[in-house]
Amino acid sequence: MIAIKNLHKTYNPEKPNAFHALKGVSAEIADGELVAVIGKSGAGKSTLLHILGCIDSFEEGSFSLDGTETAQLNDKELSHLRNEKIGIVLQDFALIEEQSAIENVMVPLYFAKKKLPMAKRRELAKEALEKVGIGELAEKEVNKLSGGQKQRVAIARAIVNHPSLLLADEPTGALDTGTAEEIMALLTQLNAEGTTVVIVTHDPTVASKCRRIITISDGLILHDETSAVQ
Amino acid sequence: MYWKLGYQSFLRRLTLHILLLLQLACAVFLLNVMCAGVNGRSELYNPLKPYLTAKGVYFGKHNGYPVTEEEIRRTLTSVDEVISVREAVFRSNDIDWRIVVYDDSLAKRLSPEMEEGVWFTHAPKEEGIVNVVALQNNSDYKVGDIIEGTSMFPKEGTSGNTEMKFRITGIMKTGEYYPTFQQGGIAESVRDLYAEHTNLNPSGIPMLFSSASFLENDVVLTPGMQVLVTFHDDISKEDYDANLETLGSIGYYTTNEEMNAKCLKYINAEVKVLMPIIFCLLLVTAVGLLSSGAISTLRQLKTYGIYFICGCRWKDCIKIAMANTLIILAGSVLVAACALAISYSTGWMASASLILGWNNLLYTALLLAFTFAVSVIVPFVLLHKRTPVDILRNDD
Repeated sequence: MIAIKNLHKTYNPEKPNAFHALKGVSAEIADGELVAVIGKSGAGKSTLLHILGCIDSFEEGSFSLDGTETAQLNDKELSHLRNEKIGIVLQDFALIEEQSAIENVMVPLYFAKKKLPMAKRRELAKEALEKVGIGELAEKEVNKLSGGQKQRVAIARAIVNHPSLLLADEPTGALDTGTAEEIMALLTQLNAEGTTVVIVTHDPTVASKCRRIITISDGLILHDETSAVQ
Repeated sequence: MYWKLGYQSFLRRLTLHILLLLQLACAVFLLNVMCAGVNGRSELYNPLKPYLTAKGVYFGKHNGYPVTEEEIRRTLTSVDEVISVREAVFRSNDIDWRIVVYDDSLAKRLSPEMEEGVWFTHAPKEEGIVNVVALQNNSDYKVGDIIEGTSMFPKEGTSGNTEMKFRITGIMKTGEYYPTFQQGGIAESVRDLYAEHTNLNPSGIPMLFSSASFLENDVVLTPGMQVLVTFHDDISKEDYDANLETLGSIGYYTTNEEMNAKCLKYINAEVKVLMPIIFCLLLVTAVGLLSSGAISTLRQLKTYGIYFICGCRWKDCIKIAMANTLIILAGSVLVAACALAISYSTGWMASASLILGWNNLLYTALLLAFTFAVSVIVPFVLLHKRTPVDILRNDD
């Protein structure tokens, strides 16, 4: 499903503060895997996740998703790929605070290739909220929700288009232990239903919930281990 | 989609956007009032412009006696045109009607607004029937009506009082202006050469308007007190000065050159008053839009980042910013249009001689185009300089 080969990414190339974030990363992630990408701060985890999410580019190597070589796609095609096949969850939730939960979840539906009537969009968004366990909070403004509820809204938004790949960058980083466990349980459940989930984290507890752990250090994959975790 | 998201952006900072909208609406309203003022004043000037831009005079005698074309041509040299407003009177059903008679040259240039029908020069002519326009408060008559009457001053050589038929081709709207040339030889502005239709003329006699060529074969037209004279372009300075000296000895005059200068000053008077106000308002609005554009875009950057990860192209976020701006512009036009409509329907525009024309649309469009361009500069620059990864990383 995901194939990355010799990925290189440098920030501010040809400038004095150039930073080589990825130095030739290669990996393959099959459909339905639950993968944790761990490493210290600055190791290149988020950079890798951004490239997998098609929100950042790379200057060398290749990245293909479901057989599509992303380097050959234009801006519009990449946008459609992000919209249809990839869901992204961030540490700070990345929600529009003044809007309701359901309005936040509907955002990807605005950019879908197939335009749906408003009623259908609301229906799909409501379903996604119910799937993550907060259907009753649909009309509540996001700024009135707890951290755990906000992250559930973010996950609902990420899955509303039924993507095959869900990327989560430190999804529990801003949450307390109890809430973090709930969120991890939700992500695990989504994975069990067939979605490929890749979680970037520096928390070993979170990583331990994943069957496969890729350790990144200084822009390179140090370890890539699959365990027998269920 | 962009409209929906732009509208959501508009609602998120509603107070600020409403303030900007009202500011811009004031600028649009004032600009249209200024244009309408120029139009209104030009409306009176334009029919007389060909005469006022030629060498000549507006003249009336000392003793207040009528001035005839024959007299002018006999007394002066190198005379091109003599434009006057004359009168005819006829009686119908024991009512005396006064007809204001314009020389054809002037009649064709006039186009006061009609409540119904058309100006008499625009109506088809029928043999034996004189086309006329009535005032709105000659309410017993309608467009198409034919008034039969007897001329009070038939031409010499005709047998007795001349029976005449007049067809009403139009009813002049209340508030319109028509030339009368009743002002004495010294006129301060073109408006002095007109009267406003507000009610029946002061003597109570119902009025009609028509063209000299329709009537002068059959009736004697009473000459007016003042005339507008033009000289040939090639009149020598000596002849011109001699003409002025002659006229000065028998009456009062204003040269067309002076009159034209006064007219242009009158037309542009409102521009001079309003332009600085509009300029300041625009400056404040532009600064407001730039600042609000900057603040709004900076606050919106995270939202644009969210849109990006959900499948929007980064450069399409500028379309959302544009949609937000267009909503403000549309709102301001709506508010200004309502204010103009209220001004029109309450009669304020007519009383202030304000006339809306095509130039109102043109200048409003230019103003809005300028405002739009200013509004999108900052979002464009900010979105160009930042990437979604920068924004998402900064928020991590």
